[in-house]
Amino acid sequence: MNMRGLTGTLAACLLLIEAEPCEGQRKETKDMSDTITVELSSRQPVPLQAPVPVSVTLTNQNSAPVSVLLPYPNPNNLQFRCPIQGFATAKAVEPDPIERTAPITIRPGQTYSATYYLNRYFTFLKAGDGDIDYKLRMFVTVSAGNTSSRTATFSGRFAVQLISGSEDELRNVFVAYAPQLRAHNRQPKVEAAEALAFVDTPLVVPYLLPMLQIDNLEVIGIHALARHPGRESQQAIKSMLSHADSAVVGAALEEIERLHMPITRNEVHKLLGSSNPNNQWLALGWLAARPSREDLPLIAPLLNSPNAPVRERARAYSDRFQ
Amino acid sequence: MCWNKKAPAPSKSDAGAGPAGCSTATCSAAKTCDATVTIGRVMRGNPYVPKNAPASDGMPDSVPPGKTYEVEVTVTWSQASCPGQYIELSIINGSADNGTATVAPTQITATSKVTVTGGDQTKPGNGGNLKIQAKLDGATVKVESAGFTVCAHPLDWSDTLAGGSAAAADIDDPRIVGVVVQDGWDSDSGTFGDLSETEISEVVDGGPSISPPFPAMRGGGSNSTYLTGGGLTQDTHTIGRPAAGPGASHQFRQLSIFKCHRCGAVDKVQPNSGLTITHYVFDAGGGHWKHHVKKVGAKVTVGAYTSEAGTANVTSLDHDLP
Repeated sequence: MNMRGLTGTLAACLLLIEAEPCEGQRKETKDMSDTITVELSSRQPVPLQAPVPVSVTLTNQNSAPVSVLLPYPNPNNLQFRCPIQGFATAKAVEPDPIERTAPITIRPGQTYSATYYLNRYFTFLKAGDGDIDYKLRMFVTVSAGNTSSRTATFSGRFAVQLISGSEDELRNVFVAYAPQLRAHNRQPKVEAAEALAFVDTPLVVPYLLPMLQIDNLEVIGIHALARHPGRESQQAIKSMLSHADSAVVGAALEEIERLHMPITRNEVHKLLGSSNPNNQWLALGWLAARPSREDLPLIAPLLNSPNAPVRERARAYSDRFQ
Repeated sequence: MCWNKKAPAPSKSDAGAGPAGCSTATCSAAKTCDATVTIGRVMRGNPYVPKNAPASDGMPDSVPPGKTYEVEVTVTWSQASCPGQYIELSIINGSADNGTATVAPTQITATSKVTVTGGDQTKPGNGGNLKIQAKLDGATVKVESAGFTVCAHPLDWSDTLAGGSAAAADIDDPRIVGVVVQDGWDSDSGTFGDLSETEISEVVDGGPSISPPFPAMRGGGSNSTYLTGGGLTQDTHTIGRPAAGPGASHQFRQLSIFKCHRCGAVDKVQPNSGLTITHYVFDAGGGHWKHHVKKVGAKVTVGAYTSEAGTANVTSLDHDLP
């Protein structure tokens, strides 16, 4: 085991006045009055195909509180690159179209940590040691006298170690996240979801299914299951059309369309009777993209919907058959 | 007045007020009126109103803590004159889990408007258990209202420059430009801390970008993750650094929806949360191209959701292009 590589975590100490990338294993840009330290590390060897955690630790070196925007997940601002050929292939990372997060305040000398997972970014190809380069862009505000803010960029390299593992070992890793999925606090809950959502082996499917029943993890679960579009996943995704939350229904319809899942028109017709007008609106859009005169009796009640966008969408669809 | 066997025997001086030596039989003979009672729903509207809320908004029956709602109680007596008889009103099932509420007045003799006041908030999973109960002469239950919940909901979204100035909120990076804004909102109870069991999601939609000058974006709607309504957030509005002309703008519409774990409301529009975010590329003179972004309150529709304008008038610094 390459302990130096595993424990040689990198500290990227960033000057708020001017962010500078790190070179090699460690570099600190000195400004003792206005600094925050970022450290990324992957300390544990993990089985190939298992979630690969990366701990991101921020330390406030300032004498004043520092506030940072560190979304979770953070595809827009946290990037990774694997410089080693044949160790991992990069995935297309979907940006987050709405970047909204609660600022994290770190008191002087205190730290904040979150665990991200490399599986969103890479498919790992083989067991062994490998280096990963990172780049983290972060909005940092120092509340000392006059508030000063800056988008700082932190970069560096850390090592990961992947070991061969049996299917049973992988299942043990996956099942260990189950309690965390049901955590009351959001952060451990979404970290567990992130851990499982981008795993490449379909062995993870049974461990993704519970996410469909956990508040605020349904959408993550739908997209995660869609990455393993077997029969079980498809049935589970289709079952989410009955959900009250329209973001969940929208995610299910999106994956049904993208994966060309077989679905009866009747399953979408049921959405027309949803108590959530946005589900009605989504259903009308889906049906209108595949127009059929058989829908007309079912959309007739929506022509008088108290919700104007629903009413107008129903009218536009109905008018196509005039 | 009627006495039953459990009531103290009337004194001789009371003899004229009721049948002497009262018994169940004589009570029945003396008590000649029955009553038919109906109780209206404890609705709140969205936004909350103290009376006459529309049912069409689909909001679960509820009232904010510390706020009132006017409910009509109809009383139809079985005879034209029923002197001394009354309907007693009370809130039943109040508890630490179900929450508490009061009703006033507690006795009526004819159809009346009564006032329900929210007390302690209902705990999640216990919504809809509070009821107004009507008893004839304080003894015989005639009717109970539909169940309701005591809970606060968010309203009135605002955005200001994060850090209090355009300079503090600015993002001017080689790859991206934009601004960070501080989100704000209120509770319809008047106490922000009451929102701890609500969650808020931003819904954003925008058309395709004009490229150049903007990076190509296909447009479409997105929902942010639901985050707690009990803690304020910041939005980061960035785009890939535009080209130096031609002049163009790219607008997004934003509003917020919420859910309440106390009453079970899902995907309800947060009143007064409508905003537009517009990125501009413009010629500042002499072929010197710049970018800035504005976020302002506006009535917007996204999908089936419509909101009146929120409060914002934010403009970023100008960013030199490219």
